Amino acid sequence: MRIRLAVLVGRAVRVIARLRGGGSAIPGNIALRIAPRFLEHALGSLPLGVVFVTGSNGKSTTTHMLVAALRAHGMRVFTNPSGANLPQGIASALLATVPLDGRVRDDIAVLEVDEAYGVGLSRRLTPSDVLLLNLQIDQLNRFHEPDRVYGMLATMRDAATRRVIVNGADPNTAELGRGARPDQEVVVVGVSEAALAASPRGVAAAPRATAAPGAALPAAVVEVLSVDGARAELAVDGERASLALPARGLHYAVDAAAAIATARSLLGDRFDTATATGAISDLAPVYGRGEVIDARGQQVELVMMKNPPSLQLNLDALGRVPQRVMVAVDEGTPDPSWIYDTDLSTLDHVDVVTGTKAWQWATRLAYEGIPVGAVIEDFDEAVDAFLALPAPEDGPKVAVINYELMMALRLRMGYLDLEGGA
Amino acid sequence: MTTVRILHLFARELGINGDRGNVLALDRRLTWRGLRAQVDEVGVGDRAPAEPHLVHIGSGPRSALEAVLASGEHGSALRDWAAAGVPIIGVGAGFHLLSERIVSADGADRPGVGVLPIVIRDAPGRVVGEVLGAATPAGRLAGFVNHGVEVDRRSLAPFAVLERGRGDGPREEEPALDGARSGSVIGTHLGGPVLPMNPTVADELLGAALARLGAALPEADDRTLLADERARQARAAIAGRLGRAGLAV
Repeated sequence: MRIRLAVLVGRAVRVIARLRGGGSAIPGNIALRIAPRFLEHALGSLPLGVVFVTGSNGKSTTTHMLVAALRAHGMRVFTNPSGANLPQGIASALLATVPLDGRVRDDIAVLEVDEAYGVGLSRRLTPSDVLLLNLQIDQLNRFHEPDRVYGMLATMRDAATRRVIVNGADPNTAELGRGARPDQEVVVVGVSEAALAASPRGVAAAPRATAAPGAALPAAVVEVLSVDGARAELAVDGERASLALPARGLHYAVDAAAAIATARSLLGDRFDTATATGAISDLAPVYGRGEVIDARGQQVELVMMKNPPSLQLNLDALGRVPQRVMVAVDEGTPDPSWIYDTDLSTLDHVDVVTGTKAWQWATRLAYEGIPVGAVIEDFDEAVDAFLALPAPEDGPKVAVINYELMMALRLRMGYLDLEGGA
Repeated sequence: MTTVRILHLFARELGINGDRGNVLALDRRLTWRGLRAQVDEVGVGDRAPAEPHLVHIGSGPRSALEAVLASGEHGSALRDWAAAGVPIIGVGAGFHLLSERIVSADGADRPGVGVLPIVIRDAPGRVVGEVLGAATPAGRLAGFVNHGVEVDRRSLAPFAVLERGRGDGPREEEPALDGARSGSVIGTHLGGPVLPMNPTVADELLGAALARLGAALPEADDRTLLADERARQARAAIAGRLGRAGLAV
């Protein structure tokens, strides 16, 4: 009864929230208040169980790829839209499709989960498989130290009832694979020496002191052999396969390899490499973090500033020195000190710097010798000034922006569905 | 022309939060004024360098600090340099490294390098947030702290007296304090990073390094003044967020 009520009320709130342009986590939050075991009930009895995808970066992309690969094999998959990786986000996603009895009818659930919330979720949902992508420097104000995040990932690993899939090229996730229980199958994704050597940024693993290798890690079942622009060559069970990536960069190739390795394990004999690589190649290309928004008739490409590896990746993915640039960061990034670790060589100037952290960014730019047009702390004023600048000839205007101001920008530009496309 | 040799010690092992920005600030503030800077990065497994003119050690997770200490490398050199008056700044774990002892939450008691006669103890809670220093003739320090320790400063002076935000001493300490100073050595938890955010500290370290070379820090040029004005605005923004809008920083 509680479940029915949760679904009905949650749905109603969802309709209202969408009309008003409110946050998409609210309906899920309300459903969870009414029925605290809504998630367990909805996802607890899927024939093929629940798969967790977690790590510092690449969760959304990899989840997307894995879901595409499974669906291409005819599986029915429940998943959460990119970024909706907290319990309330997953509950909101459920409300969109779940029948009134609150039980998902799909074969399997593939969930992108936040590292911190994943610990609690792993107790509630008992994942069969856990994919550990990487451990990189991320939101130290929230996570404090990579050592702590390592503990969270280890807890999720321990919750996997069947299988742990790890990125063997990141020493942190490799160590997590070596520490798996004997009753857990460990599946490894690798990167060839050549591909690593050819990538200027490498795998960007967080600098932790990892334990000396004890138990050996099994050989990689999927290995990234090389990356050329937005194409990657993989070895899948020793056989070469080529696929298109959503954007340039080793990072995306590792995400694809991890998705393929997981799909292969889940599908067993039904797995077909060409079907999987084809499905992943067909995914839409991403720009920056995947978004160009319409701002009063102008295109603005969003370069998300979430954490050091993702900002670097998104800046590198621009593929050009942009002619019109705004940098916008507020208290959603309480300590932006790490921007001094970012290679800003793709910027030759910044037109407008805004947000409450504007002066910290402007100081950073001064030390890099990158000219700044104007610092305008007030965000709305800055957006107006930025949009008033002449149109660039090289593509969209570019906003280097943190999550909170991206949401503010979307709202200001009249986007009602704040989370963007799923 | 004077070349100032800056040693970025354990840059690979300890450098989790933009600590490179401190070294960048030192480098630029020399070159902008027509002096030469040479930055050397030395870590575990590297040969011990000749005595540098200035040393920076950045922040990092406890596991990385323990690995650095376990290597036993460059500790005696640090003690020699500190005794000789070489300016040294350690931030976060780099500060802890300089201490006499580090006592973990699990009770493990490990010796630090022993440059600063202080004890670092794991605290039950974490301190995360912006801080603002008390007024001094050189202005106010500001930054972002993020640590889980309590510093027993013994008789050492703090690096900063705080007017707003949590310090790194006992909870009841009034006023709240951050870091420690001894001779030419500074340890702090301030991020921002600390030197671009607080250029007077950068210039103090550079001045001390140059004095040992028989030189003085030249006047700031326009680029330095531009960076410093932006840093001042950044500190003023922190003061504003901590309920001290309009204060001179």
